Amino acid sequence: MGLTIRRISMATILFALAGILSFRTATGQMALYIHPRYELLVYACALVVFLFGAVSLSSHATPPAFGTMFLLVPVCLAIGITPKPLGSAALVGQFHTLNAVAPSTQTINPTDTTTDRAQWDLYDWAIASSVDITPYAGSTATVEGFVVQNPDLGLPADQLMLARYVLKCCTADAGGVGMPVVWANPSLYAADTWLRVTGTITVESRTGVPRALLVATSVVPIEPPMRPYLLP
Amino acid sequence: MNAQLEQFVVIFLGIFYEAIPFLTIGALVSAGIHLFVDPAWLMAKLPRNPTLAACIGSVIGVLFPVCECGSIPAARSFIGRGAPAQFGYAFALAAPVINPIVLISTSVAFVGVTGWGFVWWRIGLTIAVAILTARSIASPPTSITTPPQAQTHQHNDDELPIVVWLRHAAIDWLDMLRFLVFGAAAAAIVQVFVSNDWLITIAANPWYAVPALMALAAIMAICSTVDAFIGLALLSTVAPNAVLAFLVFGPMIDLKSIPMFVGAFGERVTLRMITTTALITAAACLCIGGLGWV
Repeated sequence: MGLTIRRISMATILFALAGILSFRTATGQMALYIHPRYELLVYACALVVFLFGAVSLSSHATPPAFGTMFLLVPVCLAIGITPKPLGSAALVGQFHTLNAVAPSTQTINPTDTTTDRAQWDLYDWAIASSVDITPYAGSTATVEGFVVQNPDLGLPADQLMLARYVLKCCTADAGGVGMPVVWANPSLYAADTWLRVTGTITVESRTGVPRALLVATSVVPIEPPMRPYLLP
Repeated sequence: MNAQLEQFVVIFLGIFYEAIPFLTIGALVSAGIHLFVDPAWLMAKLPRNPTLAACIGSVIGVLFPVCECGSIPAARSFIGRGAPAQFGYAFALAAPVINPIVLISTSVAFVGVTGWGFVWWRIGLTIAVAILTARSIASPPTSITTPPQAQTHQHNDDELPIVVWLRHAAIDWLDMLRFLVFGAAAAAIVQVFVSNDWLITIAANPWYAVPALMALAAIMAICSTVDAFIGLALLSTVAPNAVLAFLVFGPMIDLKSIPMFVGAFGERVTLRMITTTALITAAACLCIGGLGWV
Protein backbone atom coordinates (compact mmCIF):
# COMPACT_ATOMS: atom_id res chain seq x y z
CA MET A 1 0.00 0.00 0.00
CA GLY A 2 2.77 2.39 1.04
CA LEU A 3 4.70 1.60 -2.12
CA THR A 4 1.65 2.28 -4.26
CA ILE A 5 1.17 5.67 -2.64
CA ARG A 6 4.82 6.52 -3.25
CA ARG A 7 4.54 5.48 -6.90
CA ILE A 8 1.39 7.55 -7.38
CA SER A 9 2.98 10.52 -5.61
CA MET A 10 6.05 10.35 -7.82
CA ALA A 11 3.98 10.00 -10.99
CA THR A 12 1.86 12.98 -9.93
CA ILE A 13 4.92 15.15 -9.41
CA LEU A 14 6.34 14.07 -12.77
CA PHE A 15 3.03 14.82 -14.52
CA ALA A 16 2.98 18.20 -12.76
CA LEU A 17 6.48 19.03 -14.01
CA ALA A 18 5.57 17.95 -17.55
CA GLY A 19 2.51 20.18 -17.34
CA ILE A 20 4.51 23.13 -16.01
CA LEU A 21 7.11 22.83 -18.77
CA SER A 22 4.44 22.61 -21.49
CA PHE A 23 2.19 25.33 -20.07
CA ARG A 24 4.98 27.84 -19.43
CA THR A 25 6.33 27.32 -22.94
CA ALA A 26 2.92 27.46 -24.65
CA THR A 27 1.98 30.67 -22.85
CA GLY A 28 5.32 32.34 -23.52
CA GLN A 29 6.14 32.51 -19.80
CA MET A 30 9.19 30.29 -20.31
CA ALA A 31 10.78 33.31 -22.03
CA LEU A 32 11.00 34.92 -18.57
CA TYR A 33 13.59 32.28 -17.66
CA ILE A 34 15.38 30.91 -20.72
CA HIS A 35 16.20 31.83 -24.32
CA PRO A 36 13.33 30.95 -26.70
CA ARG A 37 15.71 28.86 -28.81
CA TYR A 38 15.26 26.09 -26.23
CA GLU A 39 11.46 25.94 -26.57
CA LEU A 40 11.36 22.84 -28.78
CA LEU A 41 13.80 21.12 -26.48
CA VAL A 42 11.61 21.94 -23.47
CA TYR A 43 8.51 20.53 -25.24
CA ALA A 44 10.42 17.33 -25.99
CA CYS A 45 11.60 17.19 -22.39
CA ALA A 46 8.02 17.63 -21.13
CA LEU A 47 6.94 14.66 -23.25
CA VAL A 48 9.72 12.46 -21.89
CA VAL A 49 8.98 13.53 -18.29
CA PHE A 50 5.30 12.65 -18.88
CA LEU A 51 6.38 9.21 -20.11
CA PHE A 52 8.62 8.87 -17.04
CA GLY A 53 5.51 9.43 -14.94
CA ALA A 54 3.49 6.90 -16.90
CA VAL A 55 6.09 4.13 -16.67
CA SER A 56 6.72 4.83 -12.98
CA LEU A 57 3.07 4.01 -12.25
CA SER A 58 3.58 0.47 -13.50
CA SER A 59 7.00 0.06 -11.94
CA HIS A 60 7.61 -2.60 -9.29
CA ALA A 61 10.68 -0.85 -7.95
CA THR A 62 10.76 1.57 -5.04
CA PRO A 63 10.83 5.18 -6.26
CA PRO A 64 13.91 7.06 -5.03
CA ALA A 65 12.57 9.18 -2.19
CA PHE A 66 15.35 11.78 -2.31
CA GLY A 67 14.96 12.45 -6.02
CA THR A 68 11.21 12.88 -5.64
CA MET A 69 11.61 15.25 -2.69
CA PHE A 70 14.16 17.39 -4.51
CA LEU A 71 11.90 17.53 -7.56
CA LEU A 72 9.23 19.09 -5.34
CA VAL A 73 11.39 22.21 -4.89
CA PRO A 74 11.23 23.50 -8.49
CA VAL A 75 7.68 22.20 -8.94
CA CYS A 76 6.42 24.08 -5.86
CA LEU A 77 8.32 27.25 -6.79
CA ALA A 78 6.96 27.10 -10.35
CA ILE A 79 3.37 26.57 -9.20
CA GLY A 80 3.39 28.76 -6.10
CA ILE A 81 5.16 31.87 -7.35
CA THR A 82 3.80 34.04 -10.14
CA PRO A 83 6.30 34.12 -13.03
CA LYS A 84 8.15 37.43 -13.16
CA PRO A 85 11.13 38.64 -15.17
CA LEU A 86 14.32 39.86 -13.56
CA GLY A 87 13.74 43.36 -12.25
CA SER A 88 15.82 46.43 -11.57
CA ALA A 89 16.92 45.13 -8.16
CA ALA A 90 19.06 42.49 -9.88
CA LEU A 91 21.05 45.23 -11.65
CA VAL A 92 22.80 46.35 -8.46
CA GLY A 93 26.49 45.81 -9.10
CA GLN A 94 26.14 46.24 -12.87
CA PHE A 95 25.58 50.00 -12.94
CA HIS A 96 29.06 50.79 -14.24
CA THR A 97 28.62 48.55 -17.30
CA LEU A 98 25.03 49.45 -18.17
CA ASN A 99 25.90 51.92 -20.87
CA ALA A 100 28.60 49.91 -22.63
CA VAL A 101 28.96 46.33 -23.80
CA ALA A 102 31.55 44.51 -25.84
CA PRO A 103 30.93 44.39 -29.59
CA SER A 104 30.03 40.98 -30.90
CA THR A 105 29.98 39.41 -34.30
CA GLN A 106 26.38 38.49 -33.55
CA THR A 107 25.16 42.06 -33.62
CA ILE A 108 24.90 44.87 -36.10
CA ASN A 109 27.99 46.78 -37.05
CA PRO A 110 27.61 50.07 -35.20
CA THR A 111 29.65 51.93 -37.78
CA ASP A 112 27.22 50.92 -40.48
CA THR A 113 25.20 54.07 -41.07
CA THR A 114 22.90 52.35 -43.54
CA THR A 115 20.94 50.55 -40.79
CA ASP A 116 17.80 52.14 -39.46
CA ARG A 117 18.80 53.62 -36.13
CA ALA A 118 15.19 54.26 -35.25
CA GLN A 119 14.87 50.47 -34.88
CA TRP A 120 17.84 50.14 -32.55
CA ASP A 121 17.15 48.84 -29.07
CA LEU A 122 19.08 49.56 -25.87
CA TYR A 123 21.61 46.82 -26.68
CA ASP A 124 22.40 48.34 -30.08
CA TRP A 125 22.87 51.76 -28.51
CA ALA A 126 25.08 50.28 -25.80
CA ILE A 127 27.29 48.73 -28.48
CA ALA A 128 27.47 52.05 -30.32
CA SER A 129 28.39 53.71 -27.03
CA SER A 130 31.16 51.18 -26.50
CA VAL A 131 32.72 51.86 -29.89
CA ASP A 132 32.20 55.61 -30.36
CA ILE A 133 28.91 57.33 -29.77
CA THR A 134 30.03 60.68 -31.21
CA PRO A 135 28.92 60.01 -34.85
CA TYR A 136 25.43 59.20 -33.61
CA ALA A 137 24.79 62.51 -31.87
CA GLY A 138 21.56 64.03 -33.13
CA SER A 139 20.00 60.70 -34.16
CA THR A 140 16.39 60.08 -33.28
CA ALA A 141 15.85 56.99 -31.15
CA THR A 142 12.89 55.10 -29.72
CA VAL A 143 13.71 52.57 -27.04
CA GLU A 144 11.78 50.49 -24.55
CA GLY A 145 12.88 49.38 -21.12
CA PHE A 146 12.19 49.45 -17.41
CA VAL A 147 13.03 52.24 -15.00
CA VAL A 148 15.94 51.80 -12.61
CA GLN A 149 15.80 54.00 -9.53
CA ASN A 150 18.89 53.76 -7.37
CA PRO A 151 21.02 56.50 -5.78
CA ASP A 152 24.16 54.48 -6.63
CA LEU A 153 23.57 55.32 -10.28
CA GLY A 154 24.76 58.83 -9.51
CA LEU A 155 22.49 60.43 -12.10
CA PRO A 156 21.69 64.15 -12.12
CA ALA A 157 18.25 65.16 -10.90
CA ASP A 158 16.83 65.51 -14.41
CA GLN A 159 17.72 61.99 -15.55
CA LEU A 160 16.39 58.47 -15.13
CA MET A 161 17.96 55.19 -16.20
CA LEU A 162 16.12 53.02 -18.71
CA ALA A 163 17.44 49.45 -18.82
CA ARG A 164 16.84 45.95 -20.15
CA TYR A 165 18.44 42.58 -19.71
CA VAL A 166 20.32 40.79 -22.45
CA LEU A 167 19.96 37.02 -22.35
CA LYS A 168 22.26 34.51 -23.99
CA CYS A 169 21.00 31.29 -22.42
CA CYS A 170 19.08 31.64 -19.15
CA THR A 171 18.56 34.18 -16.38
CA ALA A 172 21.84 33.08 -14.78
CA ASP A 173 23.77 34.87 -17.53
CA ALA A 174 21.48 37.91 -17.89
CA GLY A 175 23.40 41.16 -18.13
CA GLY A 176 21.95 44.65 -18.10
CA VAL A 177 22.19 47.38 -20.72
CA GLY A 178 20.80 50.84 -20.26
CA MET A 179 20.79 54.48 -21.24
CA PRO A 180 20.20 57.60 -19.15
CA VAL A 181 17.16 59.57 -20.23
CA VAL A 182 16.80 63.30 -19.72
CA TRP A 183 13.20 64.05 -18.75
CA ALA A 184 11.44 66.81 -16.90
CA ASN A 185 10.12 64.60 -14.10
CA PRO A 186 12.27 61.48 -13.79
CA SER A 187 11.00 60.53 -10.34
CA LEU A 188 7.44 60.23 -11.67
CA TYR A 189 7.94 56.61 -12.60
CA ALA A 190 8.64 53.93 -10.03
CA ALA A 191 11.37 51.34 -10.45
CA ASP A 192 10.47 48.53 -12.88
CA THR A 193 7.87 50.65 -14.72
CA TRP A 194 8.15 49.91 -18.44
CA LEU A 195 8.45 52.97 -20.70
CA ARG A 196 8.71 53.70 -24.40
CA VAL A 197 10.94 56.73 -24.81
CA THR A 198 11.48 58.71 -27.98
CA GLY A 199 14.10 61.41 -28.16
CA THR A 200 17.40 62.63 -29.53
CA ILE A 201 20.75 61.04 -28.85
CA THR A 202 23.30 63.42 -27.37
CA VAL A 203 26.80 62.77 -26.15
CA GLU A 204 27.69 63.33 -22.53
CA SER A 205 31.21 63.23 -21.12
CA ARG A 206 30.54 63.88 -17.45
CA THR A 207 32.69 60.94 -16.36
CA GLY A 208 35.39 61.63 -18.94
CA VAL A 209 34.16 58.89 -21.26
CA PRO A 210 31.70 59.88 -24.01
CA ARG A 211 28.41 58.07 -23.57
CA ALA A 212 24.95 58.17 -25.06
CA LEU A 213 22.23 60.19 -23.43
CA LEU A 214 18.66 60.26 -24.67
CA VAL A 215 16.97 63.64 -24.43
CA ALA A 216 13.34 62.58 -24.37
CA THR A 217 10.60 64.25 -26.34
CA SER A 218 8.04 61.57 -25.47
CA VAL A 219 7.79 59.17 -22.53
CA VAL A 220 4.93 56.66 -22.57
CA PRO A 221 4.31 53.98 -19.92
CA ILE A 222 3.73 50.58 -21.56
CA GLU A 223 2.86 47.05 -20.49
CA PRO A 224 5.88 44.79 -19.91
CA PRO A 225 6.52 42.93 -23.19
CA MET A 226 5.89 39.18 -23.50
CA ARG A 227 9.61 38.73 -24.09
CA PRO A 228 11.22 41.24 -21.76
CA TYR A 229 14.83 40.26 -22.46
CA LEU A 230 16.84 41.31 -25.49
CA LEU A 231 18.14 38.31 -27.41
CA PRO A 232 21.17 39.15 -29.55
CA MET B 1 8.24 39.08 -1.72
CA ASN B 2 11.71 40.36 -0.97
CA ALA B 3 13.46 41.53 -4.17
CA GLN B 4 16.49 39.30 -3.59
CA LEU B 5 14.29 36.28 -2.97
CA GLU B 6 12.41 37.02 -6.21
CA GLN B 7 15.73 37.27 -8.01
CA PHE B 8 16.82 33.94 -6.52
CA VAL B 9 13.65 32.22 -7.74
CA VAL B 10 14.00 33.64 -11.28
CA ILE B 11 17.66 32.60 -11.54
CA PHE B 12 17.12 29.20 -9.92
CA LEU B 13 14.22 28.35 -12.22
CA GLY B 14 16.17 29.73 -15.19
CA ILE B 15 19.04 27.33 -14.51
CA PHE B 16 16.64 24.47 -13.80
CA TYR B 17 14.49 24.95 -16.93
CA GLU B 18 17.57 25.32 -19.11
CA ALA B 19 19.37 22.30 -17.66
CA ILE B 20 16.48 19.84 -17.36
CA PRO B 21 16.28 18.96 -21.10
CA PHE B 22 20.00 18.21 -21.17
CA LEU B 23 19.75 16.12 -18.00
CA THR B 24 16.90 14.21 -19.65
CA ILE B 25 18.99 13.55 -22.77
CA GLY B 26 21.82 12.40 -20.51
CA ALA B 27 19.51 10.05 -18.58
CA LEU B 28 18.17 8.55 -21.82
CA VAL B 29 21.71 8.07 -23.15
CA SER B 30 22.80 6.66 -19.79
CA ALA B 31 19.91 4.17 -19.70
CA GLY B 32 20.59 3.27 -23.33
CA ILE B 33 24.21 2.51 -22.51
CA HIS B 34 23.15 0.42 -19.54
CA LEU B 35 20.55 -1.61 -21.43
CA PHE B 36 21.95 -1.90 -24.91
CA VAL B 37 25.73 -1.80 -24.57
CA ASP B 38 27.20 -5.19 -23.84
CA PRO B 39 29.90 -4.88 -21.15
CA ALA B 40 32.00 -7.54 -22.87
CA TRP B 41 31.83 -5.60 -26.14
CA LEU B 42 32.73 -2.35 -24.40
CA MET B 43 35.65 -3.91 -22.58
CA ALA B 44 36.87 -5.48 -25.82
CA LYS B 45 36.65 -2.23 -27.75
CA LEU B 46 38.17 0.13 -25.18
CA PRO B 47 41.87 -0.07 -24.35
CA ARG B 48 42.68 -1.09 -20.79
CA ASN B 49 45.61 1.30 -20.77
CA PRO B 50 44.38 4.25 -18.64
CA THR B 51 46.08 6.90 -20.75
CA LEU B 52 44.67 5.59 -24.02
CA ALA B 53 41.25 5.19 -22.41
CA ALA B 54 41.39 8.79 -21.18
CA CYS B 55 42.40 9.97 -24.67
CA ILE B 56 39.40 8.26 -26.24
CA GLY B 57 37.07 9.45 -23.47
CA SER B 58 38.16 13.05 -23.99
CA VAL B 59 37.09 13.14 -27.64
CA ILE B 60 34.12 10.74 -27.73
CA GLY B 61 31.91 13.69 -26.76
CA VAL B 62 31.68 14.69 -30.44
CA LEU B 63 29.06 11.94 -30.68
CA PHE B 64 27.00 13.30 -27.75
CA PRO B 65 25.63 16.84 -28.07
CA VAL B 66 25.13 17.38 -24.32
CA CYS B 67 26.58 19.66 -21.68
CA GLU B 68 27.68 18.53 -18.22
CA CYS B 69 24.10 17.83 -17.14
CA GLY B 70 24.04 15.00 -19.67
CA SER B 71 27.66 13.92 -19.77
CA ILE B 72 27.96 13.07 -16.06
CA PRO B 73 25.14 10.47 -15.95
CA ALA B 74 26.39 9.04 -19.27
CA ALA B 75 29.93 8.78 -17.88
CA ARG B 76 28.59 7.01 -14.81
CA SER B 77 26.87 4.45 -17.00
CA PHE B 78 29.98 3.92 -19.12
CA ILE B 79 31.99 3.10 -15.99
CA GLY B 80 29.14 0.98 -14.64
CA ARG B 81 29.22 -1.10 -17.83
CA GLY B 82 32.89 -1.86 -17.49
CA ALA B 83 34.64 1.04 -19.23
CA PRO B 84 37.89 2.12 -17.56
CA ALA B 85 37.29 4.82 -14.94
CA GLN B 86 39.72 7.15 -16.76
CA PHE B 87 37.56 6.90 -19.87
CA GLY B 88 34.51 8.00 -17.88
CA TYR B 89 36.32 10.81 -16.05
CA ALA B 90 37.81 12.24 -19.25
CA PHE B 91 34.45 11.97 -21.01
CA ALA B 92 32.60 13.72 -18.16
CA LEU B 93 35.13 16.56 -18.12
CA ALA B 94 35.66 17.09 -21.84
CA ALA B 95 32.25 16.29 -23.39
CA PRO B 96 30.67 19.62 -22.34
CA VAL B 97 33.13 21.34 -24.72
CA ILE B 98 34.07 18.60 -27.19
CA ASN B 99 30.64 18.24 -28.71
CA PRO B 100 29.17 19.55 -31.97
CA ILE B 101 26.98 22.30 -30.49
CA VAL B 102 29.73 23.88 -28.39
CA LEU B 103 32.31 23.64 -31.15
CA ILE B 104 29.97 25.49 -33.50
CA SER B 105 29.00 28.15 -30.94
CA THR B 106 32.66 28.76 -30.05
CA SER B 107 33.56 29.12 -33.72
CA VAL B 108 30.66 31.48 -34.39
CA ALA B 109 31.62 33.64 -31.42
CA PHE B 110 35.38 33.85 -31.86
CA VAL B 111 36.47 33.23 -35.44
CA GLY B 112 35.32 36.65 -36.65
CA VAL B 113 37.03 38.42 -33.74
CA THR B 114 40.18 36.47 -32.89
CA GLY B 115 40.51 34.02 -35.77
CA TRP B 116 40.64 30.23 -35.42
CA GLY B 117 43.51 30.29 -32.92
CA PHE B 118 41.33 30.85 -29.88
CA VAL B 119 38.92 28.07 -30.91
CA TRP B 120 41.77 25.57 -31.32
CA TRP B 121 43.22 26.60 -27.97
CA ARG B 122 39.88 25.92 -26.28
CA ILE B 123 39.55 22.50 -27.90
CA GLY B 124 43.17 21.48 -27.36
CA LEU B 125 43.41 22.68 -23.79
CA THR B 126 40.11 21.06 -22.81
CA ILE B 127 41.27 17.71 -24.19
CA ALA B 128 44.67 18.04 -22.51
CA VAL B 129 43.22 19.01 -19.12
CA ALA B 130 40.64 16.21 -19.28
CA ILE B 131 43.26 13.58 -20.14
CA LEU B 132 45.75 14.74 -17.51
CA THR B 133 43.09 15.01 -14.81
CA ALA B 134 41.56 11.63 -15.62
CA ARG B 135 44.99 10.02 -15.75
CA SER B 136 45.92 11.50 -12.37
CA ILE B 137 42.96 9.82 -10.66
CA ALA B 138 43.91 6.20 -10.22
CA SER B 139 41.00 5.22 -8.03
CA PRO B 140 37.61 4.08 -9.34
CA PRO B 141 34.46 5.99 -8.36
CA THR B 142 33.64 5.62 -4.70
CA SER B 143 29.95 6.22 -5.28
CA ILE B 144 27.33 3.96 -6.81
CA THR B 145 28.17 3.79 -10.50
CA THR B 146 24.76 2.64 -11.62
CA PRO B 147 21.37 3.79 -10.40
CA PRO B 148 19.46 1.62 -7.92
CA GLN B 149 16.94 0.15 -10.32
CA ALA B 150 19.56 -0.57 -12.95
CA GLN B 151 21.31 -2.80 -10.44
CA THR B 152 18.24 -4.83 -9.59
CA HIS B 153 16.89 -5.37 -13.11
CA GLN B 154 13.34 -5.63 -11.84
CA HIS B 155 11.45 -5.85 -15.08
CA ASN B 156 9.35 -8.43 -16.82
CA ASP B 157 10.67 -10.22 -19.88
CA ASP B 158 7.46 -9.47 -21.79
CA GLU B 159 7.82 -5.69 -21.39
CA LEU B 160 8.57 -3.63 -24.46
CA PRO B 161 12.24 -2.53 -24.63
CA ILE B 162 11.18 1.12 -24.81
CA VAL B 163 9.26 0.79 -21.51
CA VAL B 164 12.28 -0.79 -19.83
CA TRP B 165 14.50 1.94 -21.29
CA LEU B 166 12.21 4.73 -20.06
CA ARG B 167 11.96 3.16 -16.62
CA HIS B 168 15.72 2.95 -16.27
CA ALA B 169 16.10 6.51 -17.60
CA ALA B 170 13.48 7.80 -15.12
CA ILE B 171 15.30 6.31 -12.15
CA ASP B 172 18.65 7.61 -13.39
CA TRP B 173 17.09 11.02 -14.06
CA LEU B 174 15.59 11.26 -10.57
CA ASP B 175 18.85 10.10 -9.05
CA MET B 176 20.84 12.90 -10.73
CA LEU B 177 18.08 15.48 -10.42
CA ARG B 178 18.63 16.03 -6.70
CA PHE B 179 22.20 17.10 -7.46
CA LEU B 180 21.05 19.42 -10.22
CA VAL B 181 18.49 21.06 -7.91
CA PHE B 182 21.09 21.45 -5.19
CA GLY B 183 23.68 22.84 -7.62
CA ALA B 184 21.23 25.23 -9.28
CA ALA B 185 20.17 26.55 -5.87
CA ALA B 186 23.79 27.03 -4.81
CA ALA B 187 24.65 28.89 -8.04
CA ALA B 188 21.56 31.12 -7.70
CA ILE B 189 22.28 31.90 -4.04
CA VAL B 190 25.87 32.89 -4.80
CA GLN B 191 24.79 35.03 -7.77
CA VAL B 192 22.15 36.87 -5.75
CA PHE B 193 23.87 37.28 -2.42
CA VAL B 194 27.56 37.47 -3.35
CA SER B 195 28.63 40.29 -5.65
CA ASN B 196 30.82 39.38 -8.63
CA ASP B 197 32.28 42.90 -8.70
CA TRP B 198 35.36 41.99 -6.70
CA LEU B 199 36.19 39.19 -9.13
CA ILE B 200 35.98 41.56 -12.09
CA THR B 201 38.17 44.05 -10.21
CA ILE B 202 40.75 41.38 -9.43
CA ALA B 203 40.66 40.25 -13.07
CA ALA B 204 42.14 43.60 -14.12
CA ASN B 205 45.47 42.34 -12.74
CA PRO B 206 47.05 40.03 -15.36
CA TRP B 207 48.38 37.63 -12.68
CA TYR B 208 45.09 37.27 -10.86
CA ALA B 209 42.91 37.36 -13.97
CA VAL B 210 43.17 33.62 -14.66
CA PRO B 211 42.07 32.35 -11.22
CA ALA B 212 39.48 35.15 -10.95
CA LEU B 213 37.85 34.19 -14.25
CA MET B 214 37.93 30.50 -13.31
CA ALA B 215 36.13 31.36 -10.06
CA LEU B 216 33.65 33.49 -12.00
CA ALA B 217 32.95 30.60 -14.39
CA ALA B 218 32.35 28.24 -11.47
CA ILE B 219 29.97 30.70 -9.81
CA MET B 220 28.03 31.67 -12.92
CA ALA B 221 27.48 28.01 -13.92
CA ILE B 222 26.66 28.94 -17.49
CA CYS B 223 25.75 26.18 -19.91
CA SER B 224 28.70 25.38 -22.17
CA THR B 225 26.51 25.70 -25.25
CA VAL B 226 26.49 29.49 -24.90
CA ASP B 227 29.42 30.39 -22.66
CA ALA B 228 31.50 31.38 -25.70
CA PHE B 229 29.34 34.47 -26.14
CA ILE B 230 29.87 35.47 -22.52
CA GLY B 231 33.59 34.86 -23.00
CA LEU B 232 33.56 37.07 -26.07
CA ALA B 233 32.00 39.90 -24.08
CA LEU B 234 34.69 39.49 -21.40
CA LEU B 235 37.45 39.70 -24.00
CA SER B 236 37.18 43.50 -24.11
CA THR B 237 38.03 43.90 -20.43
CA VAL B 238 40.06 40.82 -19.47
CA ALA B 239 43.25 39.27 -20.86
CA PRO B 240 42.63 36.57 -23.53
CA ASN B 241 44.37 33.83 -21.52
CA ALA B 242 41.97 34.50 -18.63
CA VAL B 243 39.00 34.22 -21.00
CA LEU B 244 40.48 30.94 -22.21
CA ALA B 245 40.62 29.74 -18.58
CA PHE B 246 36.96 30.80 -18.21
CA LEU B 247 35.99 28.74 -21.27
CA VAL B 248 38.04 25.66 -20.38
CA PHE B 249 37.40 25.44 -16.62
CA GLY B 250 33.74 26.58 -16.50
CA PRO B 251 32.24 23.73 -18.54
CA MET B 252 34.21 21.18 -16.51
CA ILE B 253 33.64 22.44 -12.96
CA ASP B 254 30.92 24.73 -11.66
CA LEU B 255 28.58 25.02 -8.71
CA LYS B 256 25.87 23.16 -10.62
CA SER B 257 28.05 20.24 -11.72
CA ILE B 258 29.99 19.67 -8.48
CA PRO B 259 27.05 18.03 -6.64
CA MET B 260 26.41 15.90 -9.75
CA PHE B 261 30.06 14.77 -9.77
CA VAL B 262 29.77 13.87 -6.08
CA GLY B 263 26.63 11.85 -6.80
CA ALA B 264 28.22 10.01 -9.71
CA PHE B 265 31.80 9.49 -8.59
CA GLY B 266 31.94 10.17 -4.84
CA GLU B 267 33.51 12.94 -2.78
CA ARG B 268 37.13 11.79 -2.98
CA VAL B 269 37.24 11.54 -6.77
CA THR B 270 35.33 14.82 -7.13
CA LEU B 271 37.74 16.68 -4.86
CA ARG B 272 40.69 15.31 -6.80
CA MET B 273 38.98 16.22 -10.06
CA ILE B 274 38.32 19.82 -8.98
CA THR B 275 41.81 20.51 -7.66
CA THR B 276 43.65 18.84 -10.54
CA THR B 277 41.50 20.48 -13.21
CA ALA B 278 41.91 23.88 -11.54
CA LEU B 279 45.68 23.60 -11.15
CA ILE B 280 46.33 22.36 -14.69
CA THR B 281 44.00 24.92 -16.28
CA ALA B 282 45.50 27.80 -14.27
CA ALA B 283 49.09 26.75 -14.95
CA ALA B 284 48.47 26.22 -18.66
CA CYS B 285 46.61 29.49 -19.14
CA LEU B 286 49.23 31.49 -17.23
CA CYS B 287 51.95 29.96 -19.43
CA ILE B 288 49.95 30.61 -22.60
CA GLY B 289 49.41 34.22 -21.53
CA GLY B 290 53.01 34.70 -20.44
CA LEU B 291 54.31 33.39 -23.76
CA GLY B 292 51.85 35.57 -25.66
CA TRP B 293 50.29 32.66 -27.53
CA VAL B 294 46.75 34.05 -27.36
